[in-house]
Amino acid sequence: MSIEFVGLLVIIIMFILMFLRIPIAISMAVPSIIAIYLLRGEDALFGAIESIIWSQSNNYNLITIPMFILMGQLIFYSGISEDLFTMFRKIIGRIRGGMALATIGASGIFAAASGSSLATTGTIGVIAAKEMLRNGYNKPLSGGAIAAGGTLGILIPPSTMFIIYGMLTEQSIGHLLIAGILPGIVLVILFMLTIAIVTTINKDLAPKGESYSWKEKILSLRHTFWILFLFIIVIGGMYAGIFTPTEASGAGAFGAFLIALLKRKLTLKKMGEALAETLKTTGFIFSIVIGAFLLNYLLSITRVPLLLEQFLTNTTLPPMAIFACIILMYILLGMVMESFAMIVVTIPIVLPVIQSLGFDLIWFGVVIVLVVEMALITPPVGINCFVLNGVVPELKLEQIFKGAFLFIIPILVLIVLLVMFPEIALFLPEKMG
Amino acid sequence: GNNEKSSTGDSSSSKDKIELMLGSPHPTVHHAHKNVYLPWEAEVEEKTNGKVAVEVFPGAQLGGPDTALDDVSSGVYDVGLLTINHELDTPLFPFSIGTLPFAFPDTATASNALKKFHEKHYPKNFNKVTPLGPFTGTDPYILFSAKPIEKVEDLKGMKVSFLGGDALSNLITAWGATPVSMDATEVYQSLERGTIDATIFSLVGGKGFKFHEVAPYLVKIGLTNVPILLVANTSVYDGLPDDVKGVLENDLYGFMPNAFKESFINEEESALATMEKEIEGKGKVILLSPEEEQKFMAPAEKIWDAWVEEANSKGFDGEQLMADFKQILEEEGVKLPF
Amino acid sequence: MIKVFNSIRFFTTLSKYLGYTSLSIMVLFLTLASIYRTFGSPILGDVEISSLLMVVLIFFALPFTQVSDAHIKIGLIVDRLPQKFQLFLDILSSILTFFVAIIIAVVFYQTSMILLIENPEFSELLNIPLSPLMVIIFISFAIWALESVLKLMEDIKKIINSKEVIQEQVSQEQVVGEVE
Ligand code: NA
Ligand code: NA
Repeated sequence: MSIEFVGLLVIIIMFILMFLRIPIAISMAVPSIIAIYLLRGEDALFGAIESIIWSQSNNYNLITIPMFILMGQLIFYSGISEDLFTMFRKIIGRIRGGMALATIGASGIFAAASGSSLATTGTIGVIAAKEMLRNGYNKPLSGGAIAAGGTLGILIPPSTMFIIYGMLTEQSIGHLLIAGILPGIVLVILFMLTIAIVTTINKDLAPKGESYSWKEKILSLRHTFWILFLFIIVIGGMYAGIFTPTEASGAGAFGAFLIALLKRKLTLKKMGEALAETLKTTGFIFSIVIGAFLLNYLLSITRVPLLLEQFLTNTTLPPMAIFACIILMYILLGMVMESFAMIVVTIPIVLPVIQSLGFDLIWFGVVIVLVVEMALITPPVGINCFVLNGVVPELKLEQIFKGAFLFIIPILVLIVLLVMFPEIALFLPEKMG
Repeated sequence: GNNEKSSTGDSSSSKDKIELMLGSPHPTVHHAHKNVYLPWEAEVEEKTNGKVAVEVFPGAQLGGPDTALDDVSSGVYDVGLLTINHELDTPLFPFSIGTLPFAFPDTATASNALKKFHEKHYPKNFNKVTPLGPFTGTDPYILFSAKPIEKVEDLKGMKVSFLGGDALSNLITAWGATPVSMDATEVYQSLERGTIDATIFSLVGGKGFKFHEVAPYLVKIGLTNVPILLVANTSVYDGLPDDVKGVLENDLYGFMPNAFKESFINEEESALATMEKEIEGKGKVILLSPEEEQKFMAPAEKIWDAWVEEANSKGFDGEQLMADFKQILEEEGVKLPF
Repeated sequence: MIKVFNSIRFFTTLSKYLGYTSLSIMVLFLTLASIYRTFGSPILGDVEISSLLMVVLIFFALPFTQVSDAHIKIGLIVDRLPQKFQLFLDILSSILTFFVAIIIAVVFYQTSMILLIENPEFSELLNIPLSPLMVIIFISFAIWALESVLKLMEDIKKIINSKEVIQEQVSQEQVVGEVE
């Protein structure tokens, strides 16, 4: 049995376990642990476990993950996500498909205070689904809009995915986060266009909503105040040199806490729930990171990355064709892999290829976040859709996936736009640097 | 450890070939990858007539520098690089003497002096891992500053970031500046946004992070150094045939330190030239006057004394280690103000 | 039996509250660290403290993640299978989780012992001993392992009960048949 075959076998077993409803982290860890033991012996297995767990937890750059998740939770418990949805409903709810548009808008703004797509989907999902279903919106369209809108959580800063990417590639996390702003805005517009087009073509998908006076519309704008305030604290504080990016995440969580207090929405119970949600999410993300690094080590010693890297570098294809291959690979992997695991496992392999092709690594980070956004909503493993199904059981998983599939198109369009106009991602970070 | 399991070689196709996995902390774009690890790989294969095949795993994919000792000793990989700042609680502590401020004015001195110190003081009974050559140095750490610094007084009130232990923070305080601990990944933005005013960083590493773009005043002074050591898993090493051991112990003993030295010196020169060009009109490379240099160095005496104390408290003969080290430095032509 | 169950749950709950505490401290600490530095007196070693706090946070979070059943998994196929088959797969899941958690617990038990007894290690700048952190990691995975055993026993109980239910149904049918 060749050594590479062991690596591939581990991947196959991992997928089988994943589809048997074994937790993702465990599905990655079990075959990796067994294979490391067989190939390198007990001492090395124990050594690898100790090193991986210690280095991945004693990691300053990853502190931002629980901080940004907590920030989003506190904003949710302050009732701000509900206010945001109401605001958009008042402004654009009268248009056909207006509430789906409102969902995208509210998700986009909520994303500016939350680092996680799952949190964005979960929080906007509860309110948006209730309103859309009550108003007779098509279920797949409703589910798709929420799940896709939720993916904005990792593109618009703050973003846990940019943080992981920055850590893996040694790129400035500050610059990565800034690079996500413009693409985030463009994607909001593309998502909205998608909804506008399909609801125009098929008028049965979404009815028109009630109309509000201009005064009410303008007044409702006040609901963005707190999010803007928080965004200014986090991004502005970083810009002014008061916080480093990591500290900004802590200050953001603290700011969200103050906002919740000021809005008199924070009971001890709600505070507990916000903390509990953050702990749970931190726990599952880090267990996946640990599993992914164990798998990474096993793949390294079985030379699987080398195989792939050689394949990618030895082709005589032009750089753009190789890039397209990589994107295709990510779309396929993204269907079956959990997104954090996918990034941690693949970036070390893909990075040297991307570097040798001369692509900008900040720009590529934005592209990677976009493929992760796709991964979050493509079947069979689309965690955003799972989360939405979890918080809104009336929306069936099939319906959500069906609707979300439509939103793959705008994401692909944005990737093409980024290839044609890299400035969409690079303008702001370059302006800053 | 079981030697059969220590190498993940494809046993069916290359039965007698010994495969060594070298875990490198440096990514493929790092100068050491091209100038040190790959040539070493080639040398080993050539000198052992193809008996040993080395495979380099770059970019810390098998493990990072902070866990290198445990990784190599447990066989996570076979050969790896130790950096002294992660080994302070081990019998290798004496080599942290090479991190003392102003011990080495340049890379060559660091390399030569550490080699001599190694020959005298490497702990013979430390067999957790097996060294494949002597300790060697890296490029000197210098001061990258957003504001010009010509005299010690210029540092007054500045916020200066540093990595590592309290030697540097004490030095920064003694200069009248404020020490700030900061993760390396956040230094660029912090210099740019004025969160800090200056940073102590390795010359080549700082160029890699492009610190000179935002802190264009480079005070070229050998602030500290990070001794490194190439080691092998002991049971893997002991299991090697005698002729292979012979090659590693004789032919290749000095290869890696020399390759590192040359690579760092070349890289240092080109980095300095590049940075000098890029900061033209915005800043400059500052060479202190001898009197001023003395003033920068003076507070370090206490730090050297404190090291002796620390060595003693860890059960080493601090005075003896220091006396030997100072003698080696004198032989290398280093003039200390204390 | 119930005693064992309760004491494991006690530790899980305790670790949850310790997790809450470290999370809150982290928020305050990061905020304060930046304010102090802005006003010219930075907290020396803040990076080190927050990294170590991160270790505490993560490993107090893990048992809670397990007990809340919050680990990400894919139920796409299994959710459609018969209830009993699902229970068998849940049992497999608990066994594998136990396998992973117990190995990691053993690794960190050994590390804790080495750091506590033979060779203490300290953080680079502030000389904070690292052994308590290793102990926390050990405890975290030990609780995780124990929690997976509890889950396993619950599922086994369910299977046994469902068999009893079926048997009861069968015997009731028999009774009905006899009456007819
Ligand atoms: Na976000
Ligand atoms: Na997917």
